[in-house]
Amino acid sequence: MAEQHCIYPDREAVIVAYLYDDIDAVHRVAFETHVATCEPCRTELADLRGVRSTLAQWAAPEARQSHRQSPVVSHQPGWWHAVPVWAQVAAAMLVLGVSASVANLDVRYDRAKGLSVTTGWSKASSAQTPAVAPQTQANAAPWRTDLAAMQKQLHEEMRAQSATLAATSTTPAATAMSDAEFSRRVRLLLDASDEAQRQDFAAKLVQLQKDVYAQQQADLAKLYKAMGVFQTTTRGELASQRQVLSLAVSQR
Amino acid sequence: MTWSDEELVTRSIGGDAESFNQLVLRWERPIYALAYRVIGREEDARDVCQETFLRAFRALGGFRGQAKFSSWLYRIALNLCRDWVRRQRRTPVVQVPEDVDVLELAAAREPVEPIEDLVERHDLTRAVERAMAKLPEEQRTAIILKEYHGLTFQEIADLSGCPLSTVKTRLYQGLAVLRRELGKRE
Repeated sequence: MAEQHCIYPDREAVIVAYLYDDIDAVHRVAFETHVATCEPCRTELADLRGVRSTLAQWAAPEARQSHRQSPVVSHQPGWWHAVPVWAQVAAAMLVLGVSASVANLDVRYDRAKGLSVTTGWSKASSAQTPAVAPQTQANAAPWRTDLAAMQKQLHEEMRAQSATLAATSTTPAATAMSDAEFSRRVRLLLDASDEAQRQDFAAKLVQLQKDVYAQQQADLAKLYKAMGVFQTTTRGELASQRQVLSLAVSQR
Repeated sequence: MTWSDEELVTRSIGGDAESFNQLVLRWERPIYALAYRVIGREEDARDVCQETFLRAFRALGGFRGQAKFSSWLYRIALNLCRDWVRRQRRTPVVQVPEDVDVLELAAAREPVEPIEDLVERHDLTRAVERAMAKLPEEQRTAIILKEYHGLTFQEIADLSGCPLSTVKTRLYQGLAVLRRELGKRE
């Protein structure tokens, strides 16, 4: 290699320092003076600058992250975060059940009619209303009992959690948040950018599909139009041919 | 108001979890980028990034400000990267996922980039990744910290636990290999 012929003292270290502009003035001037007369050093410097320029274009995936909304930078967690998962699920089921009862929701699947969802109001005018209403009322009673029990349970949980939060609010962050919770938050933070990216990509994909579909429709329309012209022309030609044949036959 | 890293650390130690969240937001991208470039796999880089902040959070009380917070964080991340490389018992290879399609990338990018530019950049990225994969870990790490994180020679030396002169040698040798490998592409 050409640069092996150069014997500048501590050459490799000086080249790197000069390349990254991390060199004191005295050494800089000395090296620049040397480079002005040393072809191997000039060539190598130019090549290494080219390498750096190429490296600068290598973007890690993190550069694609955008539209971030950090769940970590959320403020005080809502009280529901403190409620156990089982209680949240149970409460959700209760709300769903009670809502369904109030709305007199009726979900049916019939082979002929398919899936049908009706509410008490939509069935009010039907003849079945008197028969259904007492049953709904009878079913609502256990829900109310369960709901009352659940409300009591939730209130107790909330009170307990409030007390815990008050007690821990004076402790250092490093102990106030469990590792698992912190890990979860960091994971959410990292996933948020991916999710935004996925959603963005999905939206673009849908748009692309729409565009392709629209183009297909336009192409088909053109094709049908062209075929219509062709068919009209063909029919005209056939009629002419028939006339010629008829004339030829009659002349025999 | 924008707090410095060290101020946020102090506040975090004092019990302000929000301050640590800000540190995570501030340093998550650089740490993830570092991990990705060193070990080359997005999913693993994400794990390393998460583990880095988790360890930092645990050890926050022991951080005395003898080094910059970022250097401390980089050290944790680099140690985790080294562990990962040892666990894998192989040279890290930066990989573009097999199912990535150039046209998909084009569709996902805004504003729309000419396909020729996109393909060129894609090829360039692959070439850099392949060339970087040829470097020994210490040279690759030195180049990543210098090129993409702007650390000084001394900071890299401190992080790597080696003399300043060794850092320069590693950088020079690494760049020389890259020069040769990237030169093959032309």
